[in-house]
Amino acid sequence: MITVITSTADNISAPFDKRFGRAEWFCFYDSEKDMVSFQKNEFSNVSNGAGVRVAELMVEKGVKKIISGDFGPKAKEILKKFSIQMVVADKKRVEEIIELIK
Amino acid sequence: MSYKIAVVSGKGGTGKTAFSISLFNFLRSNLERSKVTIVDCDVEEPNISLFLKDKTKFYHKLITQDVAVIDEERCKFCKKCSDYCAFNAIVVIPRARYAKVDSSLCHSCGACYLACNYDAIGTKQYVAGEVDGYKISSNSYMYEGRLKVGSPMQTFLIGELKKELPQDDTITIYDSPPGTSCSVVETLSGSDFVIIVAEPTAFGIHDMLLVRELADNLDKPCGIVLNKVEDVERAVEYIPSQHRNDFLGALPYSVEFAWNYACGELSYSNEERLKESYFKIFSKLFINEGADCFKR
Repeated sequence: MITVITSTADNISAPFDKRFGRAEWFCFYDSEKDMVSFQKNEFSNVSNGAGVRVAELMVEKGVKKIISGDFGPKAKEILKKFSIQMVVADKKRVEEIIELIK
Repeated sequence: MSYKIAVVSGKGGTGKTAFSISLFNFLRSNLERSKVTIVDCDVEEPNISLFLKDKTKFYHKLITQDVAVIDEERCKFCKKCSDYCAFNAIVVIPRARYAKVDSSLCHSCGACYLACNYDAIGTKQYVAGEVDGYKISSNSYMYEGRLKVGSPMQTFLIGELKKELPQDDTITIYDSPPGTSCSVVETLSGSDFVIIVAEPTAFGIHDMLLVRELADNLDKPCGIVLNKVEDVERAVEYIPSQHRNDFLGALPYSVEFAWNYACGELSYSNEERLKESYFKIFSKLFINEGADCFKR
């Protein structure tokens, strides 16, 4: 199962990013393969609709669960529609979250 | 004849609204035979109505825009519309056969309609805000636009608000939003004269010059009012020399005025020096600056 954790940089010791649509990076954690990969968020600086476009990306990537600090209403609507679980966390670093869901 | 004055500032909080309402009150009590209309173009946070206590609402209209809708039966999920959309309002997920426009992000620009090769884009009405009209006295009126919370269509709403105004013999005051962006350009368009209300601070003068340049680009004659000034006699020194011809006058700094303003009262009539300054500005505006409405 693929879980996405919003991250401020491209490594697991990076601070957790509490924004969803405007997160700097996404950490994709594949629990079956126990593998981690990172993708830069190309929508982090768009003037509007960041959450919507990132939600679209998550559906396309087949993500099942997203861990972030908060989710905007427009993004929420799409994620809910495609049954992607939204988890609100308050941790300092990405690796702490990975340890918790392993 | 009709005459339109836009009150702008660049920087926020310089006293546009206080000045607009004072001008409105001055005109409606001194020009009894003219019709005077004040228009709150700051549609994201209209507040003139708070200062005009005796008013009767006589007009209300919901303003709608045509937002795009995707017909999922016809859609081939090619994502071309989504690529064309500058506002990220369209989500297309081919493998889920999902294609939707988020109405609250759509700017009604029509780009997706042009992009679509399959005739899958239609429109529906979506509320962007409302326009209200109030009668204040036998010769004066107030109109305001009120944007729906979260809507990005402020410029569109200001345009629609202006269309709702009666096109007759009236002196109109447009109270502008702050800044120099599209919504301010929309407010200035169609005006005959622009009054810039500025603060005598580095930030205030900087933004005054930006909005002065904007008025120049739109070929609008300008007047400058300095507000919240410590030394009214020397106020003109804050204005760069090339723009001093535009100077209409200065209003003194008054904590009491600000205090009362926060309580929804325009109290300059209690303060002689403020009243005097206002009177000087209004006189100069109408006698010197080619503001033709006073030459009738």
